[in-house]
Amino acid sequence: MDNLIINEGFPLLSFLIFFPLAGAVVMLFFSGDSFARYWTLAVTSITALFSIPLVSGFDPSTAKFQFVEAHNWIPRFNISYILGVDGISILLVMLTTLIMPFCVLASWRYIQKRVTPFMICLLIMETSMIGVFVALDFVLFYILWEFMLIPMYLLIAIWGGPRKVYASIKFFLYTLVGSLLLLVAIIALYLENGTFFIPAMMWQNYTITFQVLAFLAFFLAFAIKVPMFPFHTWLPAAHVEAPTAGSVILASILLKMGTYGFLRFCLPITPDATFLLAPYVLWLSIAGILYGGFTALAQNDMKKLIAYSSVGHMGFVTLGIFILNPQGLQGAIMQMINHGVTTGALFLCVGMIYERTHSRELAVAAGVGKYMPWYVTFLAFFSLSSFGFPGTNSFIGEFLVLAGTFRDNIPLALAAIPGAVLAAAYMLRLLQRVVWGGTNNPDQSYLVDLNFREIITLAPFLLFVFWIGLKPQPFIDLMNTSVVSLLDQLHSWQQQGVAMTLR
Amino acid sequence: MTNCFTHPALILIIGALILPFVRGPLRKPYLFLVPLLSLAAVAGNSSMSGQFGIYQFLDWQLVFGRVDRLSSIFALIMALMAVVGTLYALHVDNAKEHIAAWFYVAGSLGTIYSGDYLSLFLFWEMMAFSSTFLIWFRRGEKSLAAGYRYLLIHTIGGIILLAGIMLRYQAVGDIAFTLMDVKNPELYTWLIMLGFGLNAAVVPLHSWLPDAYSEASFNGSVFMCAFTTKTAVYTLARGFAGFDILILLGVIMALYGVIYAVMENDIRKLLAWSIVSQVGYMVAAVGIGTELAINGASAHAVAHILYKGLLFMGAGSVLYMTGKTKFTELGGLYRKMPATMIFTIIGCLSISAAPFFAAFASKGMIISAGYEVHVNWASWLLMFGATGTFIYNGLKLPYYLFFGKSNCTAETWEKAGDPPWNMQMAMATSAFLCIAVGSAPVVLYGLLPHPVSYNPYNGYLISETLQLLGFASVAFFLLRRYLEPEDKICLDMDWFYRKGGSLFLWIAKHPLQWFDTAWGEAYRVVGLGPLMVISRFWSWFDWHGIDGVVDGIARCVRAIGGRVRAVQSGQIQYTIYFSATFAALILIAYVLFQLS
Amino acid sequence: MNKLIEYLSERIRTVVWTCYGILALVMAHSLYVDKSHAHSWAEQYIPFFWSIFGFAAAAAIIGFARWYGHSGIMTRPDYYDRDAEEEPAAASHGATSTDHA
Repeated sequence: MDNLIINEGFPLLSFLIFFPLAGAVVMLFFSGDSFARYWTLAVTSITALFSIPLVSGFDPSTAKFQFVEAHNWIPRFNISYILGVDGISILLVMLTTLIMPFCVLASWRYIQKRVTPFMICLLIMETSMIGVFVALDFVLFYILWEFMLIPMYLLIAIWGGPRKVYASIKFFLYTLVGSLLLLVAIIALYLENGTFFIPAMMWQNYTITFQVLAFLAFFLAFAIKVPMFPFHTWLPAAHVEAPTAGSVILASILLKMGTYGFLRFCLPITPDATFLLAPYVLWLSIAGILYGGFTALAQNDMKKLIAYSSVGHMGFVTLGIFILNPQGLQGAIMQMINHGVTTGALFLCVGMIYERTHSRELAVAAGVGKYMPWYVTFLAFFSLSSFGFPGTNSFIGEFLVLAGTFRDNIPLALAAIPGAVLAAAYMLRLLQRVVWGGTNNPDQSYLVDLNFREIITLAPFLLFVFWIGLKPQPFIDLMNTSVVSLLDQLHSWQQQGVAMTLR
Repeated sequence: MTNCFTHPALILIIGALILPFVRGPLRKPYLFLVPLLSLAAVAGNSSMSGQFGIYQFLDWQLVFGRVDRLSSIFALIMALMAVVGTLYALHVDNAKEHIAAWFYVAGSLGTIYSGDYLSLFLFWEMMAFSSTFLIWFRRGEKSLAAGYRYLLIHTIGGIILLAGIMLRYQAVGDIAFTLMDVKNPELYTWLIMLGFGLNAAVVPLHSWLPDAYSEASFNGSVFMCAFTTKTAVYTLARGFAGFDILILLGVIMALYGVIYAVMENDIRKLLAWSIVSQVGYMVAAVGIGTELAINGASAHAVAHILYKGLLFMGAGSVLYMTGKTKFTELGGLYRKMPATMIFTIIGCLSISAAPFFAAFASKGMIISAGYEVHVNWASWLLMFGATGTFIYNGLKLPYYLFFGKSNCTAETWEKAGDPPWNMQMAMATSAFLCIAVGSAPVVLYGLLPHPVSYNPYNGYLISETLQLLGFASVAFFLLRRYLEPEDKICLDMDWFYRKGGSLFLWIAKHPLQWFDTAWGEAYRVVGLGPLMVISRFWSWFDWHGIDGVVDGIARCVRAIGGRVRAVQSGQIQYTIYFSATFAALILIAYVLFQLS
Repeated sequence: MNKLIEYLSERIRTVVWTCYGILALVMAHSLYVDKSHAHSWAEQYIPFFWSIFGFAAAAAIIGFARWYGHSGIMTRPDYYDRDAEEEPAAASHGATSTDHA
């Protein structure tokens, strides 16, 4: 327990987790679509506001978990209710709380039927997403992990596109299969350790076989979530059919849960297996980067294009994680945030076009630049950010990842470069089609440019694109100590292991 | 305004930026007021002397306000011209034209007041860019091209100037704008002179002037005729006084301009050539370099601005009312435009240096200065040129425009008339000043840089002038038919770069374009095609390959479920049969397992 | 003003003779004027110097300008516009831009 800093005062993390849930419960008693929208906006905004003290009160100089709340829950099985943030999770929590109000804003006109259940689903998702990032007990973690499956399923199945049934069930089953293996791994670890407390399971001397099996179980669950090639095929389906808010949450936050899992569980709990299997994971990441790039280039459906681009981007993240050096890890975490911001914004943009043209086809949206100048300005900046243009946020992340990769494994880095080029290719293709089109664009004169609400929705994303891109230091400072500590422990473990074998 | 230097350029720039927001009835008073304020600022500044507005920028000391008699007189006439020019264009609705004009004047005033090369260059470029717009705003079919040529030439001139400034900084170590060492010219001396000279339309760098000034808008050309060239004259006077080559160049300019002006058919081109010619006088005077010569150059600049502005205003009125500028399309207009005729004739008499009119006070100074330093050949040739000036400007222009045979179409004749009140008032002001300066030159002489002991009103000079003018008129009327305007253009040095331009264009359009197209085709066939093929393949693979497996499993499971569902037939005997069999199989397996 | 000009142009011969008279007066005046301001020998000693100079200079300029112009400098107004005709032909080459991918 020495690596926890207990929070004596107001239980901020519990508040952040359960306040949206409480908000959802309140909505059960009120009907009225308008009320649902405003109430949810208020609840998510308050949550976002309350998450700001988390950042200002965070001590970036220590790698211990902070704002910890620890209570006994089910003493019989040693299950406790423990929450805490460290450098790795704080940025993800902030990402979650700050994006949610904008998801609500994006759904303002998009969702017309069954608004109250929709908003309830959003709030429950927020609860579970924040909970996943701060849970320090495995059972708690697993419950919250599973908790967001049903709302997401409902989000796609009820308010989704033409093939929503197919997409929602595919998403559900795919993720569930992974989660089941996760459960098996959790129970195995409990049997080994006698407790579900996560930090207590880290850096233990499990046998190599156990480690490999646990790693593989974790890997499958998280790889499906990330998504890594070849376990990614639920993503295009789910993204395409989900409503805008659903796509944004899926892309910005849900995917990060997978990579967070790698960082929080695979590396510290099964370090030997990590070292052993890292090369395979790295090449799988490269495969994901290139594969995502090629497939995105071939798409004519905007949402599918961005979905495949997510596969590529998350490939960079896993590349950064498993290269196991400071730049790589920092780049990976930065990329998580950047991807959340940029791809979330891109999905918002596509949603706005969809609301107007009722189609996701590139050909239908060709040449809107002439009639929607504000929109294409935003779109242009987000596209530039998506392929890592210098000055935007993704440049920092990709650069750090590639720098880390170059340091340790040059062939890998060289293999990743075409991925970056492909990213530029498909993003610019999208941008060119949407903004200018060609010589036979459809008649877009009926289109109305962004209204005030939509500009308010997109502007903060743009702010973060440039803030992180031009002054990333504050963000890196937040995570630095935790990253360095994790890597130190990892490498000293490696030395230990070497020393052991030499004896 | 005691002891406080106000930079008039600042007033004009701020005024220009606020102008778009001043609309309705406030605009006309505002338009008149702002240049008036800058004139007041200049007047206030001229009582001071010294260096003001000094700023330290990195290693350099920028001087924005160098006030002495030379800069004061030029600034005064420029600011006055700004007032007259804005009054002339008072009725123009497009705010951008006024903004361009005021930035142009601000550039000129800034150059005149600058005491260092860096701020000079800044204002120099400001002049070049803003004046281009004065050409473009005419919106004629040739205006766009003419403006581009003008801009390109002036940019090249600016670059040459900048090169000279930088070399000089390297050699000398400071950027102060003072008299160069004209006895020992270095490369940078020549480069800076070229830069200044291009703006002064020194031959052979002069072709832009007739090209551009004849294509400018009717109000724009009034501004353009004054500022660029005379600001360049000021910079030459400041930096190159006494540089002998300028005498030769000035004389060549004077004569070259005369010949072309005599040939010209377009009124405003004729006036533009006349600018080349008259600036030649000023440049020659700068080359002579004595106090009398510099006085002469300054006085001639003042007079020139006044009468040239008046002449361009007259021609501009004709353009504004009829839309025509060629002698072959005009003529006999005295009946319809009497006021314009009178003002123009006053201008024509001024340029011809008739007694009591403007240039009489200044041209004599330059000629005398030439004799004083014994460059007699220059003075003779300048007198020769003065005769020519009278021929084309004092006789040909009024005769073929206002008198003589009318070549107007009925439509042109119909449209002709005296222009609006503000234009006439501007012309009247200039005309009055021309006569005032010519008749009572002491006022002008009091402003000149050096003390003046010259008096043009002596019997000899008057006699000389009257003889010259009188007999030149005789020659004109006798040889009239050789001066008949023909609807033709005159080729000049610009033939080289205009033809060179089309050669360059041909190279770009044919060999280079072929190569670029071939390269693009190669890229498309070899690069882009296969890339898209690969992409589509992976996209196909994603759907049919991976998802084939995944969805296939799902379909299998569903199918199995469908089959198994059929087993639920609802008939109890089958259910018991299947479950008993199933239980037996398990039991047997368990027993076997335990036994082994 | 128009009336005045009409009046004068009806009596053009009178106007012309008046002008000649004025010229004669000017020439006479030049004989008596104080030539101390003269710059050169020629002006001081040749009578009617400037009259001759004025006439000769004007004639020379008019003659030279005529010769110079007619030797090829003066040409048709659309001389430079010839280049514009090439523009449309070339523009169609550049229209084969990339319209795929």
